Amino acid sequence: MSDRPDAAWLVALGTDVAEGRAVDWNQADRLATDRETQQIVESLKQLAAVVEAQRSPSHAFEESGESASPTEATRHWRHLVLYERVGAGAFGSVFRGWDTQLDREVAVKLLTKQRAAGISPLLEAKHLARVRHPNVVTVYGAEQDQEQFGIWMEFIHGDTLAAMVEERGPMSAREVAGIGIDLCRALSSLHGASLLHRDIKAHNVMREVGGRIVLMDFSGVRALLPDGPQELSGTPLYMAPELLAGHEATIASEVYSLGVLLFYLLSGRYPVEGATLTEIKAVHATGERIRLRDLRPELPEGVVQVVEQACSPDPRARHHTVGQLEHALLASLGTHVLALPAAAAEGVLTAGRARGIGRRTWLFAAAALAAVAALGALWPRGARPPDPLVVRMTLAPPYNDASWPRVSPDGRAVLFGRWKAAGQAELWVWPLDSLEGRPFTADGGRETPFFSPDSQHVGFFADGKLMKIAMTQDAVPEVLADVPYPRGGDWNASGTLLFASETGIDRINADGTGHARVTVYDTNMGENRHAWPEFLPDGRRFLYLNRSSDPERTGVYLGSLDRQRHTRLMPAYSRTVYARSGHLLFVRDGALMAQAFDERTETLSGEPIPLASNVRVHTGGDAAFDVSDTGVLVYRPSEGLASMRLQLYDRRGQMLQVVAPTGFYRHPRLSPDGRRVAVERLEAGSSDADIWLFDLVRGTATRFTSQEGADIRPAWSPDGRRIAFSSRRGTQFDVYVKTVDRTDPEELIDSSPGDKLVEDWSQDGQSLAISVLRSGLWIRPLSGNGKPTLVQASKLAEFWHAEFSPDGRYLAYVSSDSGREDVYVEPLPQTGERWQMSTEGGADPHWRADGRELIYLARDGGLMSVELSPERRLHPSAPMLLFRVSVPDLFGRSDLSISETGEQILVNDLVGAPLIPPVHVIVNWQRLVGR
Amino acid sequence: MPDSRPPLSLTTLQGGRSAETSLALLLRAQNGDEAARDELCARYLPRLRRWAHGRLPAGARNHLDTDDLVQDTLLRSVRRLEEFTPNHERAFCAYVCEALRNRVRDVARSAARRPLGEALPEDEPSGDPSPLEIAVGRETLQRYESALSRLRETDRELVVARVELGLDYGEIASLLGKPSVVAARVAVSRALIRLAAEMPV
Repeated sequence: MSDRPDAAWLVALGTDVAEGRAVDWNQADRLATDRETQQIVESLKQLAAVVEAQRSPSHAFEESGESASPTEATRHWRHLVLYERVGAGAFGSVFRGWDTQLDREVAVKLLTKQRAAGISPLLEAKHLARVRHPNVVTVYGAEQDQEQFGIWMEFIHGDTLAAMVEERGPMSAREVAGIGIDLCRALSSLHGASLLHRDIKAHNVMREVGGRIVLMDFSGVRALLPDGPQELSGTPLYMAPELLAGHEATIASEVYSLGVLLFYLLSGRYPVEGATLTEIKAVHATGERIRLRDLRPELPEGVVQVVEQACSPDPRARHHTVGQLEHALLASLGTHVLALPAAAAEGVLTAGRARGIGRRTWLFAAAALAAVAALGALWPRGARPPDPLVVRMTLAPPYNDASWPRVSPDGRAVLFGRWKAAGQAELWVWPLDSLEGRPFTADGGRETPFFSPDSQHVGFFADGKLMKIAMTQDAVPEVLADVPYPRGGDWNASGTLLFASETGIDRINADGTGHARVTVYDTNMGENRHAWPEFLPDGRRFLYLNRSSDPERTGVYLGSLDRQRHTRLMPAYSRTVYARSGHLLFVRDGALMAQAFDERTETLSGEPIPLASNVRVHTGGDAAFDVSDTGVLVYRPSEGLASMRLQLYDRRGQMLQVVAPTGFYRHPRLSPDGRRVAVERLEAGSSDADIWLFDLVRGTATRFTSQEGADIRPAWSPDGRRIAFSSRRGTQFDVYVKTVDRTDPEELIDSSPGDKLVEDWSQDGQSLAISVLRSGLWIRPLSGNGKPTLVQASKLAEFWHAEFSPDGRYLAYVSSDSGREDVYVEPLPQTGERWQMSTEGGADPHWRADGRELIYLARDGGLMSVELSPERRLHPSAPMLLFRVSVPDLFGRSDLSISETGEQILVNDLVGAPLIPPVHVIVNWQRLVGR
Repeated sequence: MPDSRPPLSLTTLQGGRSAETSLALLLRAQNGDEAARDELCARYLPRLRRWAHGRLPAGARNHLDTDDLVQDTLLRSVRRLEEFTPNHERAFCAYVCEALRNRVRDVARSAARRPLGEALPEDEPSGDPSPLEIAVGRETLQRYESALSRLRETDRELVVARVELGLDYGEIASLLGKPSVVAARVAVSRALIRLAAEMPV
């Protein structure tokens, strides 16, 4: 072929044809200037027809009048087979259909393009596909072609509420309250995704066979707070008067529509009735309304009041959120939480999502919490209520191991980050008066958030930046400063933020100005980190952690915005928070402790009182707890250990041998002769890993290290006689070498400042690759006076997975310079060049002994092989998938090792993920410490 | 323990892991893994069924017969997997479709035979048009198929996989060893352009 097919427009044209997309053939004709290209374009026109015919073989069946399947198929649209029409409107139709890709029954709504014009239903459908709630119909997908816009979703077998009322008449109060609660939850998930339904009515809600209430029909759905004017959407009978007056839809107008719906279910009538829009507007203008009490005098007063309030003509008089309406409905069902004798409930009312506890209990507990939190809010000011109730409860996941919960100072909301996809995190907020949490920001990594004192803003760390965001829907984060290594922050009432920087604790104003250092750690004293600043109530002094290689210096310190201060308070090493009850809260040996602290005299007194055990702490000092100014304490227990198994595979993924029993392993390394494996192993009940040796031939296991601190990162010497490893015996990891048969004494190789983690031992035995945390990847000669050389400086990622090539001329390692972890190979000594080996992200690279192959892990768990030809300067082949593995995490510690021939692959297989425990909430926790 | 922020979530990774690729299934099936064979059949059967429906003339298209035909062809192809060497010739789709094309021709011919036993000349099409022929015209379809047969193996596989079987680009990338979805998309586009060049107007 000539080079013509490489023309970008022609490739784009080819893609359009392959996709069956509409093509501007006139333009293609204009661009095709020579005969050959003209001929190609002509043929592509015919191919477009062939593609189209194969993409939708529908006409095949239509024209022959024959059914495609045993069921009577009538039409196709895209990959959907359309059966009977189940609904029709002015703008389109709804069909029962079959999704041939998902192989399941679907409801397909097809709209003509006129309807779709200008309002981007495709975008809205995408928004909706984000909403996952049992009471919201699940949208599977949406597409459009030249004529139609289609959206397909789960097919609900059941009746609309409208049909039910028409057939059977009005419903009971209990039934309606139940439906109302479900719909509040459905709308809450919609509102949580910043969407408004705008067409809530009895025709749009179905009761599925079996009783599930499902909110349907999203043709009216729009984003909350839109930029432009909205057109009128919805049914006039259900419309709030302010909408009819031309105002925009809001949550309040949604509450109104829901109120009207409940009104209708209870009575078969509407609060404001009329045959036309004009008539309805006129009735609204008079202020005349039909009273539910008049229609159903026998209804319980509570239910009537809730419904009348929801459809009040004054938006301000309605429930402010659907969550509020939901609680009102709950209360109307007779959940008299406040009537509980307070004294009887001290530390007793425990509920949660433990298995076997039904939803009733859960609702009850949540209502109880809401009631008590309201009491608790009064606590620091004014008179304390008599014997405040201590309530313990749990918030169910979506927590995962990235979640470090924080509670707002007003005690109304819990905030946490969570992973949502590989490498992506988001912030979630869980208002404590709601039954569930919701994502708070749409995207981006979100770590270690902290609240402003008024609870209206949040500071957090993402993508190496300190950012702030308002606690409102659709708020946009603002970048305040670069912070590559986030270690917490805090915010005072005068708008000053503190955060841990690379040099100590920095300050910055909430508007991004006034960035300055407050504390600087003293490397001469072995200090290497100041972290987790937390203001005292005066907003001037603050607590922070200081970490030093000298254990006598490590601890919780007091600093001040006003003067240089560096006063050690206590030796603990966990984030420490001052509680308004006059306590410092911190975690020691896994226990959450409260110790009395007089912030005026800055003195601790009494013994620490344990509040909870097994609370999660991060090695960086963060601890999974927080306390509000109002007596709400949240904390999260540590998760259990994941279970893994070391298994040996051949290149085709056939398992050859189970090397070690199920347990917790990381960083396995096959010995050069392939007979043994050195691996980090963590035993249940221990917090520090040791290195173990497993003999593949004899099947024996030996503990290789046994000192108190962690021993990690084994690397075999080329002769297989010695192992280099990192050991934490004080406050940092140092490098040691030990002979495998333990004939010679252990040797300390490197105790320079910083955590030094062994990466690999070169084949000539002369040097180690070592990563130093927050410094970079180094090569360190083992003998003589050679100086260490820096290969790559630390940026964001700290996991290098470095391995020398067998000839020692190259180093393979992982870098996320491109924004994604990829495997690179760099020559030694460095020339400034490097080659990317992985194409779609990769980690954990390992060389075959002849240097002609590199095996690594792709992002999706694929074990990839790249062929290398050293003659052609490391020209890598396209990666080929060997087989897929399931390892604990791809871009953290290493889980892979290969034999010299590359024929045997040792994988640390994940066989069981750890249980993620829920967040615990204690309201009025100070009662537990006698205040 | 390293001092970096939390590692990737275990649950996320498990949840985010895509289904096994066809190539992985092929490799496993080659090693005699029955489960992989079944999975492969389950994955391709619906697509091939649709493919065959479009190519069989109405008279020859009895629903159950077609299914049998497709299933039988697919199973035979999978059984012959040992003959493929995926490193060099990852043309599974093209192979299966070619086998099916031959079977469909046989069926179409035999359906056109009346009375029974009266042979038709080799390349003479059957009397009734197939739905695809109705849609694009018999002549165009023949030009397409003849051009397709002249393409080199990898291009043919790309066209068959995307156009005829409707595999998504991720799957194609894996099946044909393309490094990425984008690369697969460009490769399909280029194959289609080469196909167009093989189709004199």
